[in-house]
Amino acid sequence: MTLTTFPGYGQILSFTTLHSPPKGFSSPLHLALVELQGGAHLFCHGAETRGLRLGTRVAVESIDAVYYFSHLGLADRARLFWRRAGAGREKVSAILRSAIKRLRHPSGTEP
Amino acid sequence: MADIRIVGVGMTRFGKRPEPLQALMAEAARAALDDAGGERPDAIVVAAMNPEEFVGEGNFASQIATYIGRARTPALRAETATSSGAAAIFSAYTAIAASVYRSVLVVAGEKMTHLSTPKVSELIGRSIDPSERSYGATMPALAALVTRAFTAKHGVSLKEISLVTVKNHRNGARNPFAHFQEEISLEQVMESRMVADPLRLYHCCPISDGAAACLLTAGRGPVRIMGIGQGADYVAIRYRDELTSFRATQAAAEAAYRMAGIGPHQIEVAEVHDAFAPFELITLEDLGIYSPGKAARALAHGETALGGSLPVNPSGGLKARGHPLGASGVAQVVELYWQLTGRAEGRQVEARVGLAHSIGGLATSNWVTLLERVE
Repeated sequence: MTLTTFPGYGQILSFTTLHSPPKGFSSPLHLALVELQGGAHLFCHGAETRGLRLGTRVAVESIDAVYYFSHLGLADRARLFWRRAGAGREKVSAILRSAIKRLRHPSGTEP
Repeated sequence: MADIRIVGVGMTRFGKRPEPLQALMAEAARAALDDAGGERPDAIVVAAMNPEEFVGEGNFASQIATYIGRARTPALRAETATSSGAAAIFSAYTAIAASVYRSVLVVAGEKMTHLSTPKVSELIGRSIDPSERSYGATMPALAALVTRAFTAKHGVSLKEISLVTVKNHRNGARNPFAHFQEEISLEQVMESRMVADPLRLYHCCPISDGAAACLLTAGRGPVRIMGIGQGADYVAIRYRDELTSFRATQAAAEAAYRMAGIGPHQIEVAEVHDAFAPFELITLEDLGIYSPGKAARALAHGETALGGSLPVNPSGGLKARGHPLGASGVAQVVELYWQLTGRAEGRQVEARVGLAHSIGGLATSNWVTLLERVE
């Protein structure tokens, strides 16, 4: 098996907001199907779907093996991780890790 | 080509039913056997998507055989998620075609309304790819992704999609077996609660109890099975080539048309899997009845209404007749049998050839069955 890396951005194939998500997810739950440059398709969580269209370019990153899409700014990303389930400490840790990752890879490419 | 007929059908009213699932299935089975006159089955094929979890029962084929007083008739269960009923018909068809049995009783049912909506949603959601499920994807969520891609690709509006619901409720209002027997307006659909944007509550089929049955035979019968085909696709929708059409429907249709030696333009009435309103439009395009993006206009022009050139879901479909998962694939065939033999009182259409289409999971295991009146 060979490990393949893709750039950390792609385009929205489709998206939805679930108003009664399953147990363990907070409502509303924003989901998108994203096509990364290179062709891989991923399910992603997001902080919102406002302003999104099919084909919109988004940043994609993986924190704790879960993919998240976001608009490309830092504030949007912080809000995204603040909304996710879990203890406050975990949320802050996810935000910090996301910010550090972005500082180390400013072009938006995963290592 | 095997000449296999349907000789009797029966179903319970769909909806919220107090009886246990076994009793509902026995009611449908008895109705089909009475309808068939003297013919008695050599075997039974039972369909239920998940009786273990919905009603806590196992060894289900034997239980149903026992419940209908045929404990010593060989029985098995067929399962392809929400299209299990169609899988049971296929199983009976192949057993007769192989001359293993002369006649087989198909009985299908599900009981769901005693559970909470989140629980039902969780159980249905088990047919979704585990990775996608781990993101909180439910059936309405996946259907919403499909719907948004479909509307964007073909410029179809949500209002046009909502007309599927309006039409099917109008048909259901004429069907004494339907879960919902009231018409609803376009405004009611468009203003109903948002479930998974852009799908609203009235774009989604209800949670229902019910059962349906039919008797297949190598002997005489008024309706012949012209063709039956299955199509398959990845469980994960992220691996699909297309979001706006279902490969599993296209492949099932191709197999069924080939077996029957007919094409989509010979279909005169269709019962299709409208678990979500846009699926009716996508399906009519996947079946080759309308070209891609054109089904919405045909609907708006009344072509698929009861009095139209190709009535679709005269029963009310899954939307109004209801969707007791495993039962739906057989209920579609029951409706077509009634339509083709002139017994669909109050909603009768003129037709000799009919098509039933059933979706398993989020279009991972779909079936197309073609029926023709011969006597």
